[in-house]
Amino acid sequence: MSLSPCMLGLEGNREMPKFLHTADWQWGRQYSRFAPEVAVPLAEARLQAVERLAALAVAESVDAILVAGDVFDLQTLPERQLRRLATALEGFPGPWVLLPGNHDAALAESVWQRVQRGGFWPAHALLALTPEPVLLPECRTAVLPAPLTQRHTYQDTTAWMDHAETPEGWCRVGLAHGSVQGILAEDIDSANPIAPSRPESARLDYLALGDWHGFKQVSDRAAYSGTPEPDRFRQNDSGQVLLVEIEGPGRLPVITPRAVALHQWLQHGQRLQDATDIDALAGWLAALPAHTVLQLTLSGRLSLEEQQRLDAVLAPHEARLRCLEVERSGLALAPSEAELRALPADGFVADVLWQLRSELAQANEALGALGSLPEPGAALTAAGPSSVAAPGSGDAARLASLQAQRDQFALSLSLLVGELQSFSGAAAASAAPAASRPELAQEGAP
Amino acid sequence: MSFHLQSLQVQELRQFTQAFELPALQPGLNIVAGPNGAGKSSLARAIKAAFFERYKSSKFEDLLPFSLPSAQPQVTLSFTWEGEACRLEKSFGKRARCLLQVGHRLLEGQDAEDHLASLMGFSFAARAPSKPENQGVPGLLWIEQGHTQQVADVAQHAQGALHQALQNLQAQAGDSAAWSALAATQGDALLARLRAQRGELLTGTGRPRGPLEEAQQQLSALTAELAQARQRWQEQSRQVDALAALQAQQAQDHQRQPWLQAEQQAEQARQQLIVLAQRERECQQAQERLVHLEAQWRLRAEQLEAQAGQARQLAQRESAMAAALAALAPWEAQLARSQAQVAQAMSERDQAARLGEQARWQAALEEARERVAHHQARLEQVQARWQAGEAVRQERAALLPQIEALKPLAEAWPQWQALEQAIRDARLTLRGFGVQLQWQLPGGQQLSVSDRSGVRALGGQGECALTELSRIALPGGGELTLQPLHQEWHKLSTQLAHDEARLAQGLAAHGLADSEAAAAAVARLGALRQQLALADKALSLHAPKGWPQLEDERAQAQSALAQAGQRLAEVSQRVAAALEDQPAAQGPVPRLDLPQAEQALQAQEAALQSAREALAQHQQSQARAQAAADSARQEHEALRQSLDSEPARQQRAEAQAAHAALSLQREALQREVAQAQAQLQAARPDILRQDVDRLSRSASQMRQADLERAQQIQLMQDRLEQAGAQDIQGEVERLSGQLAQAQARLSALQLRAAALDDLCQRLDAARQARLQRLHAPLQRHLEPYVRLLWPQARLVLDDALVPAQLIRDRDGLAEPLDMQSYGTREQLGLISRLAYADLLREAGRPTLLILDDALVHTDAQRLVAMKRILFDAASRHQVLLFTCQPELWQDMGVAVARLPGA
Repeated sequence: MSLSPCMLGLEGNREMPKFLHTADWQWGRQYSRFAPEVAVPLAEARLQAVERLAALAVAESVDAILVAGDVFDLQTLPERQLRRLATALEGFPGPWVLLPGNHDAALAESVWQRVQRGGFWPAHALLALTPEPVLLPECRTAVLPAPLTQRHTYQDTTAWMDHAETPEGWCRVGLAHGSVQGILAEDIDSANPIAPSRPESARLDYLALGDWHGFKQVSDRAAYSGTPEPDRFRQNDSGQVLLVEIEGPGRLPVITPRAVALHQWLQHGQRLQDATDIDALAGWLAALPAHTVLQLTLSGRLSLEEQQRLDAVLAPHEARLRCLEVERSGLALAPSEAELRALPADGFVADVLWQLRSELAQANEALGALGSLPEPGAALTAAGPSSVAAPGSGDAARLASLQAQRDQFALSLSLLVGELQSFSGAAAASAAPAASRPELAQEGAP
Repeated sequence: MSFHLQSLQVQELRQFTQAFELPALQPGLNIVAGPNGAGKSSLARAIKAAFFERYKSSKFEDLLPFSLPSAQPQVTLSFTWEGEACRLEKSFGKRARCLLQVGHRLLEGQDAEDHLASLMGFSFAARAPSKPENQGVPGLLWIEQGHTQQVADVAQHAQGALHQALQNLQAQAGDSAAWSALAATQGDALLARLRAQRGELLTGTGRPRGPLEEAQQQLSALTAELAQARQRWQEQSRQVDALAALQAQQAQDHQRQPWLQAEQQAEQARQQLIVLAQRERECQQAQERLVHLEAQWRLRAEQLEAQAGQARQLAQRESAMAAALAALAPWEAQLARSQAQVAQAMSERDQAARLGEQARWQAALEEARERVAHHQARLEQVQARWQAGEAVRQERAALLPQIEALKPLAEAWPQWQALEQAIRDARLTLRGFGVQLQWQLPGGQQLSVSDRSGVRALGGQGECALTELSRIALPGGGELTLQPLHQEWHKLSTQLAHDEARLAQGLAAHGLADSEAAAAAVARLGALRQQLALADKALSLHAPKGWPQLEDERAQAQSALAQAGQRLAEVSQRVAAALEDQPAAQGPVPRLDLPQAEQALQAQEAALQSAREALAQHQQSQARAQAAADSARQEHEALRQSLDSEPARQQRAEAQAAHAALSLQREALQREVAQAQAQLQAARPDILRQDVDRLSRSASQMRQADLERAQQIQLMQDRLEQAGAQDIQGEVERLSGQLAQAQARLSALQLRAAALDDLCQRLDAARQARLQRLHAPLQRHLEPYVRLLWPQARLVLDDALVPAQLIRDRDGLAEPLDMQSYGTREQLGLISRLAYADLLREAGRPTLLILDDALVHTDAQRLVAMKRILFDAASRHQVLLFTCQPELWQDMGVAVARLPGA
């Protein structure tokens, strides 16, 4: 970046710089863990989020949009994707300052080179590929970018800002992608560290951060905007952009989060004990908007009938919601005696039926004893340290094998029950043995 | 004896168009005999129809009598069951009906039929006619003609009843807890369906197949694909890193420019080399100078040496000169003596010589006079012969031209004579051919005749022979031509003319008028030749050796005379002169004899000669000594002069000075060269050259490496640019997702397969356990019968309670039943049914055995055993045995009822 615009005296007459701070667009993300019918709209929504924030920028008449890294999800995005983003950037005619993050690090050969070579990139979308000030004379602001030039660095790339020279009387805004040390949880990538004292040491009016996908204000002068369109279950306050206004050099910035997300991503745990729990779940599901990506973790014990009822409740929402993932590993099938007796099972089939029920019950109990049948809502707090029972690796293996066994028993039982139920309809015509059946079944009950 | 068929009545049924009754049937064995076609099978069929066929069925054609298609087949059965008297009436056709009276209860229509079915353990076919699978227990126990050996199918159809019977038995035996319930008809079907579901996922041996196998394959394919894609991505990332590293290196190198340093060092070394080369050149020049100096120095040394030699030579020469002078003196004295002796000898010899001269001239004068006289005489003789000869010669000379002139004429003469002869002959012949011309002309008139010989004028009168072509000119211009007619004439006349011309020509050439003149000339020639011969003879007398010889002799004689005269004159003159020379003082000169004088002279000459020779010898010796002395003196003088001269002395001094100076210079230069060489060696120019080579090569290599790196960077950038467009990373993402989904699907399928496998195994095991227990009672009933046939034998039952294998001996092999003979199978089939009947009876089910012509394939021996078996069975069950061979069954202890013959 040359200093010439400033030197030419093209100084803006705006006293108060105002810009949008966003990050982690990860354009081109595929969501490949989802089926295509879910993955494709989710991927599209990321571009729409950019379009929405461009519209917001126009509506708010901001001076610039700062994107704090991870603009692209992949280095090898097809050109079509690059062009689509270029088109979306046309939505705001002011300057965009785009910073490479860990996903799109400015490597020797990177997505940025392809963007530059492509010839389709709008001129007002500025690429901050080197640690040099980007001058925005319109708002008398110097943006100090800390681009990542490697996938992972273990040095603080913002260090140079301390000594960066900017025009006198201009605001200094840092733009960085990484982990502010000691602020974020440990499970965030600890590479690409950023010193928490950087705003002070570099005399920044504001440090626009990226990498953490939720909105998180680190200090008065530093914040993570989060991704504009959520893409994970476990994150707080994502789906927003930050409207940042600075009255002048040295003044504290005013940070206002603005929602732009299309989808909400939810994790929900529910313990099911009887039919009323299922009804409650049905009511909760009905209240969700269609643009919901839901991970539902079920636990508890269900009889055959209740299980069928649960399936009936979930089925429409699986179709209605953007995505509904149901985790049933905590859900135990526990058919009642009466249910089993009602089945047209006698002879050796009955033997097996009761045998399976008994073994399934034992497996459920064994699992319960290991504490693997989580309490309702446990999954939601799984990230927290308190909820992790942290079983030993031997226990974990035993747990897994028990679970597998239990699942197999449950499936065996379900299959047998299903077959018997399908028989019961067909067998109605056959009169002869029917008379003695209930009596026999009763005899066979444990 | 709970079930007892008491009577059977039929009407309008097959053979039995009229009412027919089998009355008073016994609880045990009943044998009904009749010939073929008497209606045994029709009766068995009637019982089946009464039980199995719906009365409303329209399919009863096989019951109709042949002759009465509109008949109404009717069957009435009376029986007791559990002590109650029952009666079943069934009519088919237009007035179809069914009545069942059980004690006092009367059931009608379908109710009656259903009651009966549950009682007997069968079902009705959904659509008539009744099928084997509906006939249940009765189907099992009622054996149609020729079906005795078929057990498996019918046993299957009766399985529900059998199982129930067995269960009831076990229940009664108090074994209720575990064995009460047998999955009756449904169990196997359910198991089959579950097996089919399992079979979709697993093979018989438990290997994955179908969707499960596909899912596994898909998973492994995806895993491989993903690994590949990841590897590609990693490779690309590595390349990006490598590119970055290269670019960093490049930037660093471009900043540092290490090749410059190497190039500078190389340049320094090169400069050092140049300096060294200059030194080397200088050293070389010094060496050359030294060589030059040494040459000079040597030259000077030689010069000094030469000068010393010269001094020595001068001394030598001095002594040589003295010796030569000493040797010269004796030779000079000797020489003076010899000269005096020579002068003496010379004067003596001169005296002798004068005397000899005088004597010699005197003798010569006398000899000259004699020779003149001699030659005079000879000349006179020769002169005389010459004169005579000369006269003859003149005469002869006059003759010769005349003869010469006539000689050609004489040669031509014979030719002419021949011609003349020929002409004469021709003329004579021609005259023979000729004409006689006679003319008589008036005077004045003349005619001219012209022929070859010319023109003749004819006048007057005359005659002539015309022997040749002649023309007569007529006055006034005409002409007569006369020509002989004979052919030969022409030839002859032509030849004659020719010969005449030749002759005339020859004569004319010699200037002769005619041949007479020629003859005269010839005669003259002969005379002349005679004169010539005479002259020649005379000449040879004067000059016998020829005239020229004579001439020579004459000339010689003349010249010899002249010479001799000249000699005489000369000698005379000399003698006179010599006399005049003789000095008068000496007196008269004695007349010396010539030989004496000459002798004396010779002696004097010899003395003089020897004196001269001595003198010459001495002169030579003296001269040599003189020359030696002169030479020695000259050499000495020359040397002395040259040595003593001023330039020579200066030269010597100069040479000595120069030599001294050169010696000093030479030593200094030698030191200088040695020092320079030592320095050069110490500087190691070879190593310096290697340095230049090494450093400049390093520099160029570094530059080359930089260039290649730039190319490589370009190449990598291009490649990465291309690779970047392929979205490998996206592919990795996609594949990961697909892999996770495939994993989930596989897990689900595996779970399902495991569950199904487990379920099937459980069901199988449970079923087997059940069956094992069920077999026991049936086996108990079977064994007594089998032992009646083979005392050691045992029948093995299969899952469906059907005999499957026969073990004849205690330790024998299990033989499949299918492998047995027809007769054996028939017997075993009957035994099985009896055992089933026992089982059913124990379970409280009605049993009625109907055997229609059973055991027809059984040999006599087996038949005995079978009869005992049947008899035993009949003690527990009612048996209706229809046979066409009543004599076989007479020993069964019952009366044989006989059907009326057809």
